[in-house]
Amino acid sequence: MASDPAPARIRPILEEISNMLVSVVGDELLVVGEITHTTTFNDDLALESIEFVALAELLQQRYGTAVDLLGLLADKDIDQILAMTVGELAVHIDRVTAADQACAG
Amino acid sequence: MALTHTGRLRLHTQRLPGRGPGPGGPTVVFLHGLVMDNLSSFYCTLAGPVSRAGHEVLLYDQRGHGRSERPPTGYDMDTAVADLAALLGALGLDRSPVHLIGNSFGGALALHTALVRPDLVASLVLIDAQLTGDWVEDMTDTLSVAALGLEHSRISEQLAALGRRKEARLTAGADALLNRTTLIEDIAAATAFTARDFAGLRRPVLAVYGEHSELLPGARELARSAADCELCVLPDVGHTVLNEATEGLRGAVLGRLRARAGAVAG
Repeated sequence: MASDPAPARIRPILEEISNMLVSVVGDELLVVGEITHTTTFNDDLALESIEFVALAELLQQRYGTAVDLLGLLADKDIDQILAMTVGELAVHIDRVTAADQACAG
Repeated sequence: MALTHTGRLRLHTQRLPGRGPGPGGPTVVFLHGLVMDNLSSFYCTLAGPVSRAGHEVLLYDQRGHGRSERPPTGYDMDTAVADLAALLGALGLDRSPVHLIGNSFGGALALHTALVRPDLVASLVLIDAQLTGDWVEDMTDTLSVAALGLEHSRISEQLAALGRRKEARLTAGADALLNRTTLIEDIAAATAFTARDFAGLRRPVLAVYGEHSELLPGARELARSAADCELCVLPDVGHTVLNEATEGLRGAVLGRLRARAGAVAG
């Protein structure tokens, strides 16, 4: 992430994603250390595809159907998605939820 | 996490709505392969496109796999069909037949379902599924060797010590399934399908196989013997059609579902 467009808005999303990851993977994730915006799902967290599916479900429950990780798979394959950083996902969530609220308004 | 209590066991499920002005029609149910597989292989490849084409989708981790419960017994095909029937019942999807799409052993399970419970099945897509020949012996041998290796090398603990958590988790799951359930003996008790089974099939089938797959002769026999079977052979790929020929497979499956929707509507 070269620039952080909305750090104040992104930070709570990062925290929520971190909590969801721990609930999906379990406490063993805590030994990885703090999850930051540069943490990658694959290299740093070693997230399995099935754990990604569970994370996608939690994100959709929390943020609504606008956060459609399955939709992301239309453009990227699972390896490309798991190569993302947690920060990139947080920015994506911030963007689509903001757009969703703008549309609703 | 969506865990569905079927009354028999807890299964991890994912449901996707049919989106857009698609044809609707029967729900599409995906059946994954054995041991190292789970619903994510279909979730990451075909489930999205099928949902976006207007079909309601059900994915689930089969008994002992992925994030579903792992009881010590019940890994034979008849129990797998009973699990599927119970799941469809628990979700209220048992009032009309479903399309079954199965990969590898999931395809064999789909075919078995159509033979023993045709009332559940609208049509089948078999993706490089084990059908004829010595597949039961071959699979039993492969799984037995893997089980011994996992048991004696304590490979999962070694991987964990090296900090390779993903590999450690995957091998621990495989070790539990192969060494602490009846899966291998249940598979060993299975029998290959026969031309008589194929001839008795009363549901339309699309079989998608890799050009270099060792399982292709079984698919050719199915296409010869079944009343309504289309065989689609994808070039430059072996058994791993789902992951390595995803685009060709997607085209074949979506075309087939469109045609079936037309046939049902007509």
